Amino acid sequence: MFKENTTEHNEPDTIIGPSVKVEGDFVTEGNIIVEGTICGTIKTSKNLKIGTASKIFANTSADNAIISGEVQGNVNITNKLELTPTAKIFGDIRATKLVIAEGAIINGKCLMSDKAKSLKPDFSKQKRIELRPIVPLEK
Amino acid sequence: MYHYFYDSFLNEKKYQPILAKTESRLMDLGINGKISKLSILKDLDQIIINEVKQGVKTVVIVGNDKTIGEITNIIADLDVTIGIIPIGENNRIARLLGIPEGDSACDVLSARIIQKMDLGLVNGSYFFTSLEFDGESANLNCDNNYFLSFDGKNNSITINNLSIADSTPIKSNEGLFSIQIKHTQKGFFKSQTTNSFLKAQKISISGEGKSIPIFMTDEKKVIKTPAEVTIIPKKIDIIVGKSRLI
Repeated sequence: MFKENTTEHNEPDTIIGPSVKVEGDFVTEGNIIVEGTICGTIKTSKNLKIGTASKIFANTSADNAIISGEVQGNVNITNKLELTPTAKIFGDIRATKLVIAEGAIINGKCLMSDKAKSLKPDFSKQKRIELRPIVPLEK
Repeated sequence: MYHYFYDSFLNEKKYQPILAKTESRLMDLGINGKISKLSILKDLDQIIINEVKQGVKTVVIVGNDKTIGEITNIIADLDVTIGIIPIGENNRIARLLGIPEGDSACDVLSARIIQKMDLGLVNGSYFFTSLEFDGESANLNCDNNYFLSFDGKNNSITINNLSIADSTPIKSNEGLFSIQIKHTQKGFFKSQTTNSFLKAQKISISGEGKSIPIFMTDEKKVIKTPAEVTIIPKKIDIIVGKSRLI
């Protein structure tokens, strides 16, 4: 994601620089790099990178994301979410894979893939155990 | 049937040899046609519309980017193919389309590789390349979905349909303008430039209580806000060269 020398097409289609403020529903089909401010909603079917100085007051949805800035809102990532040491999240996180670096701040719930459920023992088929009072052994 | 429109600056003596050479080459290739020389006194709209009514199928613009901008604005709604013979300075459009200067352009015309191109429309005027304005007090409403505003001074905004930025060609993609915001942060010793790139189909430009001049780069014309900018996909047919950059 956003790395050079990869065979995938990872060129950013949208770059929001530090001097730019976006207000409203920002929906695209391409990769996004945010270094500025966004208020509203961010939605992309590809990758999202939120830079160190950026401030996001929005609910965020993407396929993969690397967050280094501040996000006030829920973060919904289909695949992998990476939080760098400077990341600050004030909202709930949902992601399939999650990487949290030391120093990152999360204030909210964290939900991961519901496919990987913990195995519950099934007690329904087990015969009922008759409990008898304990009779003290005769000496 | 070809019709050639010569810009008025080509009346200067220094352009006569190259025009003579070009006309001779057109004759050799068998694509010569009627020539109209533009001047301030002539009503360009009327001349072009009359010629198209008489059966002209290819309008060839002989001049520079300004000439292309002016004539494209008139013929965009007509059923004609546009050809270009670039002469003189300021021929960025021709370079992007792979059309060499002067008589060499006649071979490109003759080869007739036709490409459909998008056009921008701002307050009723078509534009081929880009719009430029200062972002200090500008607000942009993009696709009626989100607003863009800019912090501080030194934000230069360009709305590109077709352009070259730092020797990289920029072309509208899938009927979307490419919006470029260049911000220069001036420091004590050196200044730092950051670029932003966005895409949109429809942009409304307004100023915070004042009118902002918007520069149309191809026609060198200034319009004022409020402005409605939309892209018209595949609006014109244009003859391009093999060495085109887009």
